[in-house]
Amino acid sequence: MKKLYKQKQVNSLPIVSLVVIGIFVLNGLFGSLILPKDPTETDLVNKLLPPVFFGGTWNYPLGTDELGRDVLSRIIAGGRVSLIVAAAAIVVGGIVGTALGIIAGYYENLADTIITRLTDASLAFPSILLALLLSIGIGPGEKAAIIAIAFAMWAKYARTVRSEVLIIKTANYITQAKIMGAGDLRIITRHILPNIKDMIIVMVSLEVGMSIISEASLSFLGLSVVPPTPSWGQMIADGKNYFQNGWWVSVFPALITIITVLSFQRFGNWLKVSKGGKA
Amino acid sequence: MSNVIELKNVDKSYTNSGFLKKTTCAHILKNISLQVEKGTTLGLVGESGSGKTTTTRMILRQEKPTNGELFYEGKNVEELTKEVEEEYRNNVQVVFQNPYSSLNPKMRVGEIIAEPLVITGKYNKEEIKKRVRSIMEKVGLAQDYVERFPSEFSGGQRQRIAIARALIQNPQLVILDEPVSALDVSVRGQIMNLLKRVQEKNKTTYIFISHDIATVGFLSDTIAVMYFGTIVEYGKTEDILENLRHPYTEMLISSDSVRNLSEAEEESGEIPSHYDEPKGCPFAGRCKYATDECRNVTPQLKDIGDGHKVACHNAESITLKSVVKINRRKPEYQI
Amino acid sequence: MNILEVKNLVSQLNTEDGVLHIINDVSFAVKEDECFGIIGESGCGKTMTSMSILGYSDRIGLKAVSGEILFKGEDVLKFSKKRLREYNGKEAAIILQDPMQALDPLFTIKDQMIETIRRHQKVSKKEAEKIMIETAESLSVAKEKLNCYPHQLSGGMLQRIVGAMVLSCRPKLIIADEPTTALDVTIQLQYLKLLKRLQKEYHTALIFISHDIKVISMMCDRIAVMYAGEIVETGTRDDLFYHPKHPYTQALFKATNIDGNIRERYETIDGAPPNLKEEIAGCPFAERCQYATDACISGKPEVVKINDEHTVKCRRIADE
Repeated sequence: MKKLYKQKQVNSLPIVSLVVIGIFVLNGLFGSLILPKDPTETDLVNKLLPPVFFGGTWNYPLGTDELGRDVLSRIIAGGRVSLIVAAAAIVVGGIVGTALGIIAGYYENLADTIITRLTDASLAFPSILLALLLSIGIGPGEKAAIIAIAFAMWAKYARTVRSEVLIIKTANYITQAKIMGAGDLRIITRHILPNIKDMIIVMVSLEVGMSIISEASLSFLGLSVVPPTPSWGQMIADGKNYFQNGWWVSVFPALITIITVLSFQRFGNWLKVSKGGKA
Repeated sequence: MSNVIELKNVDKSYTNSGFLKKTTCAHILKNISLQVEKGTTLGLVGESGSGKTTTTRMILRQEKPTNGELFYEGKNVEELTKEVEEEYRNNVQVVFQNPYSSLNPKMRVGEIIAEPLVITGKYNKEEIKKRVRSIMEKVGLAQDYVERFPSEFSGGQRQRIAIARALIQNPQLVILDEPVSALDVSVRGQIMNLLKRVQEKNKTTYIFISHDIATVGFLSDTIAVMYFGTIVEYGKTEDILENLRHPYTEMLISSDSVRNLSEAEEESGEIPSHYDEPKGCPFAGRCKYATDECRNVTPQLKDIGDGHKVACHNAESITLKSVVKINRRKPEYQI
Repeated sequence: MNILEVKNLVSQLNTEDGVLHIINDVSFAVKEDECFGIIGESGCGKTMTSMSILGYSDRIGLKAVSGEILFKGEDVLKFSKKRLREYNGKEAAIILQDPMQALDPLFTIKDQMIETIRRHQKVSKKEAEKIMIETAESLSVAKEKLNCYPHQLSGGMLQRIVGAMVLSCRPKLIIADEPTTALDVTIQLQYLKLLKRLQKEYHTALIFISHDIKVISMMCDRIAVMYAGEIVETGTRDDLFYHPKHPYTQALFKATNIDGNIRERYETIDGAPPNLKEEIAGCPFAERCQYATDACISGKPEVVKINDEHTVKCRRIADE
């Protein structure tokens, strides 16, 4: 049994991405403490003011929308929504997906067949349709968005985790544990989970970006948080109606979304390579 | 002397039936009967397809026989009480061939070695620590290895860790499945000497599996040679090595002791497929002494004297070469 | 005539844990038509050396710091990508331990062999088929097996097929890196007989790498012993077997239990090979050698010539 040496790969820590992620998270947690203005307060006198470098004032650095609301404050508040919905969706989807993936891969019996079919069905089901149905069923808002996004996500986790578990199961140390009398619970928690932990962490970091985009898409369609709570997708949707007169209302939230998602992607990639994957 | 483990007429088959598929049946083990006496070593010799792996899995309770019975200390394994079953589990351990996949890469060495004790739930932390340290010393692992991960160690050291784990409960029986085949030649001796020392001290019973007659011969008191799911020869080590009687045993030993390629006999042939079982003796296709009887009638294990059993129609009539000498004196030179 | 000359090769490997000094001043020569053996245990650098000879260094992150590898006079380390493509397979080829590293599980043997033949020779499909059948026959591979997929065949058969694929292109140099280690013992012998016969028939030079002394002694005319990236002894089979001079060679032979007799205790070599992360100033075997002196630890021994073919790298021998 020869071990081939692992080549060193150039993998520099993406500082800029980390900074952006840091800002995003801190904003989500503490942003409400530094809001320059009330994001929902309308002020029709000051509607559609341009951002500061385009003829505006420092009072409204990124301008205002057609209801006079400060764009910067709305972006800060919207960032909180993005963080919460994306995080909740990943937690729910990830935990459900991982658990089902482990059950399917470890037991490989009827449960596996059922779970695999469910996974296939879920991956084929359009999440937007689900969000729509949910918003009709339980009412629109974060809950609907979280469930819809989690639903779209769990299947990916279940599938990947299941195949990892199938591979790990064949290792001798698992057979050894069984021979020594370890129960299923011990084998799963002490032997399987620690060996798939890395893979899950990488998946999560790469999925956060997708999650944020999904939330933005849903709120663009009005299927996420309800106004007056601001969210980036919503702002983009609002702004597109009067793009000529107030491009900043759509463009800034769009830019912020893109930069945040790209930063998560970059970080996720770095994490993947540092744990031995290929870029 | 009592037997720790005994197999009586064990068969093992796998049937593959499916909707719209032809049912296929693979007879992996056919009529296996083995005994392992307490404090001795049984050597199981065979190559791929011989069934030695399935036999050990059965002894480790990972497989159930299709027919036949398995006895632990005289008691039928199917009828054990819960306490005896637990005793069985704690008393029968295994060391696998591959030192790289038998240790959980995410567990520390100390945890790995302690695991059998932790699973029983009968010991407290202090006791476990003490026993881990003690077994590590016996096996030749430095104490500060406890906190390290397996990836920091070489193949030989990993096998020591696996052996420590197998021995920590002082088991009656340790199954050694090709424990040194994956190790460098200069390291093999270290592990083999260690295993011998442990047996001498604790009177542990071993089942030693290998395809290499020399390593098997070193530890074993009795040897069973397996081919295609049956035992073809069985007896005391001296009898088998110095007075072998089965053509397959001859082939195995000579493959190992050939010095010149021109000495090696020409033969072509491989182990038959389980899905296309040949009639008669499974070795007939490759055997240079095969007769018509061999090709049509399956030979049974016959005792040819003093516990030496052979499954060969021509056992009495052919003379086979045996080139191995047993020389159990300590070597003069030390390295 | 030497078909291959490795001259003072020094190579380093970039790994996750740092730089490994994996080949330290290796020199040897292989004649045409000869079977040259390299014995060594894991980590001694034998596989890395074979990768370097085939020009695969870049692919595995191996960097040659100094030295040359001359194949028919040309330095392989300086080959362009184009030259390498002609070289691999047609002039020099390798047989690996695991036949599945050379075979694609998705295609039949026939498809793969024809593809290989046509990649290295300008022949039509029909001609390629003819070559394939000829080579397969000489390796005792039955025609029916050619239509199978790899998973339907045994390890021994696959290894023969890989051998057939390699030989069908008539390379001048074949490297066999532990080709029989994964095979059953009773199959090994047949494979080796086959390989040896074909080597003579096709006039190919064969570099046979193994940790198994018995196997190497059966196959090879001249043998080199490698330890920690250095060649510590070279000689003919008789030289090494009857007059091994280097302490490592002697220890290795004793540990191998060559005569196969069963003894009371196994011979072993205490300790472990040195860590290749640092450059070793003296003899790499010094810390495990019973004859080591201070001079052995501080400086590298020179190569001593015992006779035409037999050389040793040992201070103790030099002093005699």
